[in-house]
Amino acid sequence: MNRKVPMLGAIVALFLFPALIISIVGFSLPEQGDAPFKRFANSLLTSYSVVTLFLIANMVFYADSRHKPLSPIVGMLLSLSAGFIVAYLIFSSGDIMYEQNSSIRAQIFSNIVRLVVTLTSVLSAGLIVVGVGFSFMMNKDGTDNTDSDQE
Amino acid sequence: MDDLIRAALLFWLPIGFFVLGIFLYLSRDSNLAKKLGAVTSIISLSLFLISPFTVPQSPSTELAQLSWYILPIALLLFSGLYMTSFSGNVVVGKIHSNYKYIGISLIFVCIFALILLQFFSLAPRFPDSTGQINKYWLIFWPTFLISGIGLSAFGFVLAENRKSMSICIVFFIGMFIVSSAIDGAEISSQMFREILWLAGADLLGLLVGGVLSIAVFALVIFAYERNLQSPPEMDEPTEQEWSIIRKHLTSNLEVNEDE
Repeated sequence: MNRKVPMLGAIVALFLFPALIISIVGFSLPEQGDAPFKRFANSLLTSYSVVTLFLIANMVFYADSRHKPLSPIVGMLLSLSAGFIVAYLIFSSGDIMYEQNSSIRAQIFSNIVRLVVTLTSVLSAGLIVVGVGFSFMMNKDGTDNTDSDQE
Repeated sequence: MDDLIRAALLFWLPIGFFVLGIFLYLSRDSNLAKKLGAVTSIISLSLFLISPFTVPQSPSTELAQLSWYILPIALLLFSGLYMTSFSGNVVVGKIHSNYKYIGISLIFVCIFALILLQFFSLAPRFPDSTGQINKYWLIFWPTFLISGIGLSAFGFVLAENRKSMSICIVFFIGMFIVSSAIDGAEISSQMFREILWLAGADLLGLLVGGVLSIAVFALVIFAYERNLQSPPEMDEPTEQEWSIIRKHLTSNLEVNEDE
């Protein structure tokens, strides 16, 4: 690559940018009420919990490879503390957890299904973007992606 | 059977076993474990897909119904992109160049199918014939467009070939504008705009939650790695050890020259 690749932070910010702008507009629209904030809070807590579970499982492998048996427990305690702080900040702003669901159990199941749908849509969009980029790269005129040593 | 237990056994349990099956298939080395993982995943996926009939009372099974529409489109799209990519200038796995046109046609068919679902009378519905459009489709479409715009912009900055990313950006922004300005047969632009804010908040929450969790674990690993003892310093090799190294290097070079 002969072009300077921008900072990783800038690239990540660029990916976040559309969602951020749309959310800010959504939060500020009076007719929307607190629905976008409720959705944001539920989505944040669900994704935090699911990713944390996944990372704790990975921490067990880390503990084995580095001979640090306490690392999953330390990770769990730290993530629980961070989770409590985030949940406290969210809950302190009012009764915001329930959307159209009547119970916490229904809300949790609804959150998980929504997370799966959101992940599926992000992966579908990613499939298109990566696939189209890859197709263009492989079909560029006048270039050969073969390794000269292998021919 | 109680509705709740029915939903747990015929909808949530298959989802759990599907994830477990995939984990077994990817993480285990033994063939038996891999086969077991594959079989578990296939059976669980089948149970999940038929859940709108087995557990019609559970609203979560609308997810399975949406999968009937999304999975075939995603599979066709993947095949199309595979054919287009691997009919080009690749060394490994190259296929005949004629497949390029089939691949491009498949990609267009899939995009057309997605447009039909949003703008014409083909939007996914719950099989109980209440006429209600699948509520998860209403989440899927705006999230798909927002994340598509973000990912294309991300790729535009990163990729060397900006033409492909420009096409993606134009497609996603175009669909976004059309969806928020033009009424579909059943999904109005007003409805799209109402859901858009929730989809944006949903996506932002997902990203912030994920990043927060990764940051916490990165902190733990950072703390542990910082406290690791540095490896003990070794003495320089002796003359005898140097001569062994020279001998091995020379014999390796001779073998390479013979080949």
